[in-house]
Amino acid sequence: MKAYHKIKSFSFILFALFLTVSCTKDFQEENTNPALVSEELVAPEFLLSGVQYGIKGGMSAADVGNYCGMTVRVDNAPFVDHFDDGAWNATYTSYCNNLAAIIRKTQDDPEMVNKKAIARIMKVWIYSQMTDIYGDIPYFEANKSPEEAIASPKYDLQKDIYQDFFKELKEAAAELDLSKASYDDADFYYGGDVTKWKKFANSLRLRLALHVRYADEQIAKDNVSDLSEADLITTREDDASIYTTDDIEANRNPAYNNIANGADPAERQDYVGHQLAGKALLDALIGSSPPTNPLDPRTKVIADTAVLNGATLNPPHALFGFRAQPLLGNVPVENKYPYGAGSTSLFSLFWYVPVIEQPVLRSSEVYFALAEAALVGLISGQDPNVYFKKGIEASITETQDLYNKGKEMMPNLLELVYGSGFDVNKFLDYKEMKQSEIDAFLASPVTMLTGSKEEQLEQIINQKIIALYPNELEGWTEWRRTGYPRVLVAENEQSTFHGVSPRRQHYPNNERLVNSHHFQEAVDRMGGTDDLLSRMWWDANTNAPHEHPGSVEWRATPWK
Amino acid sequence: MKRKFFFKSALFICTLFIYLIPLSAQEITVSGTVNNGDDGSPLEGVTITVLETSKHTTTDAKGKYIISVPHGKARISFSYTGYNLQTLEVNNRSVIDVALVASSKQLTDVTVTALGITKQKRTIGYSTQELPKKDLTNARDVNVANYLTGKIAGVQVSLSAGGVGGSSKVIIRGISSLTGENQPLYVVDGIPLDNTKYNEGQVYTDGRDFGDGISNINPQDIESINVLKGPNATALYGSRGANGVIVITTKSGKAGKGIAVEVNSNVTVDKLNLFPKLQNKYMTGYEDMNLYGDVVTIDGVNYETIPDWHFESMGPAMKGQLYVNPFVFDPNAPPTTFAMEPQPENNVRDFFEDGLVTNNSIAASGGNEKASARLSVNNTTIKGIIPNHKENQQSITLRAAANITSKLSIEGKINYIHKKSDNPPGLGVFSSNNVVRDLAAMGRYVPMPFLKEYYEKTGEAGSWPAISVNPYYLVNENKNSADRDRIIGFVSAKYQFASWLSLMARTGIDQYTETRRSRRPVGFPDATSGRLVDETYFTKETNSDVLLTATKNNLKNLTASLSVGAAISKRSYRQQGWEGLDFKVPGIYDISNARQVTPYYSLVEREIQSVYASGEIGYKNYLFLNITGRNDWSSTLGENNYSFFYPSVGGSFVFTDAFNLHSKILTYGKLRASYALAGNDGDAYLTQSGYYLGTTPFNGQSLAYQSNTIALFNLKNELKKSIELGTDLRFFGDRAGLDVTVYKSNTKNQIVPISISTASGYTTKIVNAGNIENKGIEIALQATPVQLRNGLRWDISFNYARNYSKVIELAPGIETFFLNETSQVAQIEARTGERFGNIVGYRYRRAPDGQIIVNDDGSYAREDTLSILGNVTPKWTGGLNNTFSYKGFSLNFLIDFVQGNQINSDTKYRMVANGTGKFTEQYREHSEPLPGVVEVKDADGHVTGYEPNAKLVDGQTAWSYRAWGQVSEEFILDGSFVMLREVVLDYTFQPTFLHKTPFKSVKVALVGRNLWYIEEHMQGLGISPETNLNTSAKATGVEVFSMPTTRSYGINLNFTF
Repeated sequence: MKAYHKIKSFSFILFALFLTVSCTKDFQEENTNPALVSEELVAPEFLLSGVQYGIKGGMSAADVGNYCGMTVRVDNAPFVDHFDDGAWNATYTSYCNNLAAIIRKTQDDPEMVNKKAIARIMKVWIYSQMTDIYGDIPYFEANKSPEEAIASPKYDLQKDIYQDFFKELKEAAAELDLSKASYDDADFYYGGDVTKWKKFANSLRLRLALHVRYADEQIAKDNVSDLSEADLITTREDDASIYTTDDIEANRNPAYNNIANGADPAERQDYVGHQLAGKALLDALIGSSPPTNPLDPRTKVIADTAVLNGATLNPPHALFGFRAQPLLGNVPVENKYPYGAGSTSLFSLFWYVPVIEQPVLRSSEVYFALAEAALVGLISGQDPNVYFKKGIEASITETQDLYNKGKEMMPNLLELVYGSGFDVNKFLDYKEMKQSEIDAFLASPVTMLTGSKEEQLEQIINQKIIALYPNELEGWTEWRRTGYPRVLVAENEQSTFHGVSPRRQHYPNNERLVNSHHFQEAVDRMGGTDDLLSRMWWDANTNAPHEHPGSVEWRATPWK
Repeated sequence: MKRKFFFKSALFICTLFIYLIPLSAQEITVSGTVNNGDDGSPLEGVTITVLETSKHTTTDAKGKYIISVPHGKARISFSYTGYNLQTLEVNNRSVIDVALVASSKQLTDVTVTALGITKQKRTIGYSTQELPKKDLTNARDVNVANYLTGKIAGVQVSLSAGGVGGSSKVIIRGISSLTGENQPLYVVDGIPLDNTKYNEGQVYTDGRDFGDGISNINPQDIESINVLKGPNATALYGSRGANGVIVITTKSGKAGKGIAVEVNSNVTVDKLNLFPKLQNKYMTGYEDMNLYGDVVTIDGVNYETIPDWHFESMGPAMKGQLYVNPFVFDPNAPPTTFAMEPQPENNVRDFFEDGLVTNNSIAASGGNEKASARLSVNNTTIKGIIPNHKENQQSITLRAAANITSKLSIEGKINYIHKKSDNPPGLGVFSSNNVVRDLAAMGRYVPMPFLKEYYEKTGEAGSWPAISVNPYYLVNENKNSADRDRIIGFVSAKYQFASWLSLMARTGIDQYTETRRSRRPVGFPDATSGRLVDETYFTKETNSDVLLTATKNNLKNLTASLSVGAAISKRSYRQQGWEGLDFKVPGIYDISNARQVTPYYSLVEREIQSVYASGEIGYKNYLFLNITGRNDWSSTLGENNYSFFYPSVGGSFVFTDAFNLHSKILTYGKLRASYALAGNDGDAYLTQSGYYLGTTPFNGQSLAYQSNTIALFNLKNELKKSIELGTDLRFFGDRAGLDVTVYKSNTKNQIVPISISTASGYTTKIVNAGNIENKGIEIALQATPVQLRNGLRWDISFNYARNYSKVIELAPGIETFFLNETSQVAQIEARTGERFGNIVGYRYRRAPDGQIIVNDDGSYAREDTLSILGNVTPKWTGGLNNTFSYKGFSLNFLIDFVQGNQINSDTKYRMVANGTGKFTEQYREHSEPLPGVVEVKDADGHVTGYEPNAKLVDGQTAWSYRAWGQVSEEFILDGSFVMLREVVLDYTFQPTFLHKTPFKSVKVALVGRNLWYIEEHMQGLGISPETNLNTSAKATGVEVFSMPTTRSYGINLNFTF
């Protein structure tokens, strides 16, 4: 028994020894990820920069698809049934999560009021793109802190979301205070300029008010009537834009990277050839029938003639006429380019320069919005024609900037794409918008609103589409709510869209799996299917001219 | 030699004579030395049991023992792992020296259990299985883990997708953790080995298999491998042992005559076995005919170009048609024509070369009573089957032991390994680095010699339709290398307070630095502006433990032992490096040449502290009770949940001894039972949320992003509960044995990152939830049906294991957990109430009579709802091993079985979609309709009947639509196979032959491995049923352009002097 006593005491000593040696007090430090910054320590500036850098000028065409005919992708599938869920995921898990964190951090600090207000405005802008893509989306229960996060948030009604947008924009604009600190250089849009942010909030409210005017005119009126020109983005200086930089690949214009990474000119031309200038955009620039008016000088900056790389550098603008038609589904290529793949107008190389403006919201859009508001009586006592012309002029200035900024980078780019034998000066000279051309265009009837109200609206929207480019999401929204521009869509045997452009995007597949209950609730509100042709709340214009050249019958919601 | 032997024998006989004179005492003391019958070296730890009294002892380091036996007719037995049991009549001798003969049997008497404690097998209440010793003698596979294939019941070893030199995936008793580690813990000489794999292949991202940790161990250094299967066996290894433990003991120096030198040399040639079978009839294109090419006029004749966006081989039959030649060096030269002709049948297969593996080791060992040491040096070279893949590993091991005083002994080992890997194959389905994908999906009209010539002349990839990247360029210019320097070592000291009480203290280290370099030239598909990655992985693991052991054998009818210990284990994984993109000057692979540089750094540290105890009480050497308990404190858990405790209890009952049932038929019978819990901690950093900073600034501003994971602040440990029952029976002396185990385990409270709605703001939430149940049976049978006096002997061993994994529960509100979320073919999931690892996808839509329904366009229809199409876990696995020996010859062949599992084949998907598979030669050119029926509908669109399908289709409709339309059923393959895994013919030269030479032993073996699928169900596709994308649980059953499997033929030479 003595032996066992010994064992006992030994093990006791050992155990005691261990307990004194061991301690778990280092554990927390060991289990702390050195790369992770806590919410207390992360600066609002970092979070805002992260959002603006990530989203740039807004959801890209790759996120939303090209449904209004601005661009046509040569890969034969302009209307892809399932886009990747990049826009959805980035909005929720990155952009709006960052913005929600800024709002949480700055909530109770009066000195931080501008940082909070700008985050609130940004959040409305980003969420508005989301709901315009999908319809009802998780909003009030989304983007909580990790502690309070709701794993399967409910889908809110688009109307409720829009009402909150207007409330947020009004409150945030009112909060902005010139005497308090702002983001400064961390804000890539405005350098923290509080006055400009106020104009942005108001201009965004104007945009969103027009979105809803067919669904609820009163809401639209309430949010437009209190705005005057002075509250809005009306000059080039007020424009919200972000510019890519030429330091590293990730910061450059992605379109440029595609070219620059091509092995030889043939491969680079191939990349350029993959984005065709869409019929809707070119029709707006040129007119759908043989043109009699002077050429809109923006056309040659925006697009190239069909045979640029051949003999004709200074052609009659009829050569822009072979326009790519957006077609549904997998169709033989010859249906898509009736004159052969090489006959189509491409976007000009000015869209491929490494440093390019990525517009968020510009004065041209604001003027066209005011023109529409004046036209339909949302504001009174104003001449829509004046705004319409100002809008065109603003767009010409923007296009002029595209040319001027791109000009310096063009020699390199042309050599990359067309090799060394290309006559750069001749090209730049042809592309330059001469003042005489601008004057001639501005004097032409195209820049004057004429005809019935509806015809005038079509003129406004067609010009707005040009000014909006490359904002294809906003272009799609304009098409959905007004029916303009008249997009040519064709039917093919596999099409499930019956010859019409989609009116919304499918919810991400993952939602069906991990948020099935709320997903189903939202789908049930659309009539039971997550349908591309269902109309969202604001998409309520029953008079839109759906007799497109493709002859498509009107279908009511829900689609059956 | 001969003289020595004669002298020894004479001495032995004299001794016998002397002790034949009867003595009159009641009890006598017998002593002696136990030696290895092969080389005469002393054996330590041999158990000597007096059969009449059950009294037992073990030999010391010099092989010496002393035991008292009753006077009169007494028998003593000598048992030792890996050697034949020997029983002798004492006949009143006081000195009995014994030479034990190595056995080839698996059911030996002692075994190395947890913490390196050697136990008599009869005392333990759970199942362990030792790798037969002779399987270790011929080094035949570079990776030690592959030795286990087919040999141990319940252990499944899968080959890696990376081919020779790659990692092995070992699963014991099924998958039990959804996302955690499912591989067993490797313990070498009592010290856990780091087996981390960095950046293995994934479905969509680039990855490469640079080999796992276990592949660094020199097979020639291994003395024994023992597999502890369940948590019952492994409770004492703590959380990392929850999936089983593979206990490896390396060789040590033996006290003996001078220095013994052992040389082992092995050369193996790897020959390509299976490669996807490709069609050789149809060119690139679509819809049988349309090329949509441009028209070019050559000598007044118009020819079509082949458009560069062609990736499918769904064009017309190749009949010498003329096109504009795309295979030219100068695109600006006047165009020429190209005749569309079938290329040689094996043009793609011939891309592969023969692999060559050499493995040379030399070891010297020696020692005396005070000290012993063993030094070994090993060099392994691998030349892979794709051009430019080569690896080289050197290892030096010194192991030494010394008795400082009669009470204090110390021991230590240091093992240095250097491994250099160049260009192991890239993995994954969409990785432009995977040359197998490249080759199997490439257009069938492509002249391979041109691609080779083009690369050799220009150093460039070139660009042609239906080729993702020139494979010659890929393997030569996309370079990836790794350099690993590793040190594994330990020191331990043991103090023997008394014969019954000892204290052992030990500390071990496993540390390696691996430098990897990866470069992509400018223009490479996934890094068009050029890419360079330099990164270093620092991996370090230290383990220190103390163990106090007391044993008491001299109690009345009772034996008892108790071990109490404590351990600290620290692991750290540091990765740092940079990625450089956007080269200023093509062809310069230095970070200064990159315009965009992203540095990165990550550090994971974790620590576990433990105390544990293990006790055993034996009654009359036939009834034993084992109890263990362990408490761990793990740094990766929540602040209030660091500590977790888990006990085990086991019992063993040798009923043949208890009831004295010894008969000629049943020699030995034991029943065992045990119940155990095993805890498991989680990965590091699951307990906090926060923000990540972007690595590259924009306009001079820093960017931050919220982490996408919702942490679980109160993270708790997983807990695996396991119960097992078993029996161990031996018949006809030692001629036959049967070991049967049934078990059930439940792994609860799993640490699972569940996918949540991204609208929450996060993608993933960490939860503690779930319950996965594994039930199974394992049978190991061994027998010696023939053992003749002339030396002819036939040994047979067979093992069988059946495991059923079921998902009892997942997290609340979560019905399914996807194991592979990214396959194009189908998803593999864990769904509540279902078998773990179901493959879920779309079936063909069928008429009530089972015929497939054909769409209006002539293609096959699929259902709209998901169905279970199979399961990735096998229903049963097993192995059959036969050895015939005669004189010095021995012929061994091993067949292993895996049955009842399905494979999700992305390779077949690509072969169908692209029309490169041989089988896609059917239904082309509108020649015949797909077999099936079409629906007959009434005016309202209701189906009223079916009629045979008559619609003629093109190849694209017949084949590509199955892939594009996601008819998953088409791509699920039956993974069952029976393989002739190993054939070894060896010859051991007889001592009589060697006595005039300096050699003590010489053995030559011819070895064949992975020789022949006796049975497989891969539809003749040329895909191996065996490979996995990577070694994680989620990659089980995912086949994604794996490296083709090889047959290996080798020769092994082993001699000692």
